[in-house]
Amino acid sequence: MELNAKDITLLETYWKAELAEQERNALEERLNTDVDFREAANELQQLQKGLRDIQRRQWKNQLAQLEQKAPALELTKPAWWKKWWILLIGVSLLIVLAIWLLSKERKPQLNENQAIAQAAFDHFPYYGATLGTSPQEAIRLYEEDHDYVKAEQAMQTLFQETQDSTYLLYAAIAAVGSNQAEKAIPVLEQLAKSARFETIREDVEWYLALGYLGVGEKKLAIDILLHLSTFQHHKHSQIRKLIAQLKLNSPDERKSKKK
Amino acid sequence: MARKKIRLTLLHFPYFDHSMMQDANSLLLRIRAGDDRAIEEVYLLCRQGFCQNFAYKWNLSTDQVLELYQESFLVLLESIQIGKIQEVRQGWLPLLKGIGRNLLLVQNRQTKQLKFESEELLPNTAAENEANDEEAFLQIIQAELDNLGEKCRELIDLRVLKDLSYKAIYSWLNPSQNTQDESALATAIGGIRVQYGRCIDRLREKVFDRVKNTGLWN
Repeated sequence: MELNAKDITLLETYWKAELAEQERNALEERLNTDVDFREAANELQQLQKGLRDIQRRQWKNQLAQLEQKAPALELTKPAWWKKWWILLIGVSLLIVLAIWLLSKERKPQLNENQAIAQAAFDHFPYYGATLGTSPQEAIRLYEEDHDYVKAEQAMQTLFQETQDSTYLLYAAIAAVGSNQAEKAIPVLEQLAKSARFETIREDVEWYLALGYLGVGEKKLAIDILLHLSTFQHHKHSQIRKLIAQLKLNSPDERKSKKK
Repeated sequence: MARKKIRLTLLHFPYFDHSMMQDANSLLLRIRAGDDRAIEEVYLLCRQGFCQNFAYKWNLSTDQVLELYQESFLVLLESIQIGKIQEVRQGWLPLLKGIGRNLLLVQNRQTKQLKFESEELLPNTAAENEANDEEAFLQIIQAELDNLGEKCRELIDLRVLKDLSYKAIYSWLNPSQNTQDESALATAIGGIRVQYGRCIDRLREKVFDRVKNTGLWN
């Protein structure tokens, strides 16, 4: 039996399951009743499958020829880290994250006043009077490394060993510099009254003011700074700048500025 | 409001080498057009990477891994041929690896089934006869196909092997023609349909005449 173009198109669409229901029913009816048509349809299907098999076979032969031409395979066992690289990267990232979180934990965030105090803090040079007798380590920590946390401890130890209040002064200044103002305030309050530090009283009061600022006693800090501003001190401009900054940052000032 | 579905691919990354993808897609078009050099290029390009990957991940011998590579490559070629793969998004190797993985999974599933159905398998001689008949049938088709005219062979290739619609066949055969007239286009497409119908039916009749004469599958 001959198949016409319309039959062939219908059959091909039917095999792809893309025929509309009505047409599909009609075609299935014909396939069930017309034996010749069914036989021709089967032959067509077999032929199309055969054609595809031929092409597959041709490709297979082509690939076999290519394989003969291709260089020998070098199947080397991959390095262990290549197998686990995703895991390694993941673990490394976790370690970095943990370190970062820990370091963040160790550096507490400064509040507004503490930040101002830390920004205004400047290094007070180590006086030569005790240079020759002081252990090099404490001087190095304070003078060269500016590691005020360790320097404060080293100076405290020296004070306990020698009972020299100079070390106590530097321990207090280091405490202010390392944001441990609560340690520094009682010491600086005492030393500011001491006759021994008469010549550097303004400096001691400056660090005391920064200490007050560090613990949030802003009013006390401003009082000291205002007092200091009446002297011709080498930190005069710094003092005035800090007073202006503190007044500007006070809530009353902010309100009046907004108005 | 319908939300647009975003599919993130390597192409979205700014550092991605777009020229590499352009090369891959031009190779795809060349393979679809039947360019043997393009097939060779892709075959050799992915061979080492594919085999290295499967040999150790799936514990396959060199012969097994090469067989798997060739099977995967055949599936790739078939998919390209029938237009299932229209674009190479992430390179050839990931595509082939995906095919290889699927083939292995199907193979594993079949092996498990065979354990239960082994008694129902055809006896060896019957299977051999079947294979011989299949081989003879394909030889007949090939011989009759060679006897057809070139135009017919091309139409059969485009319709059966490349799975193109009649309209696509028309565009393939007349790439420069841009017919605006709807009725002229419909007539041309109808002409291709009739022509293809005659060719495939003639081939069917010739092939099955010979099949009946040689007594295959009796």
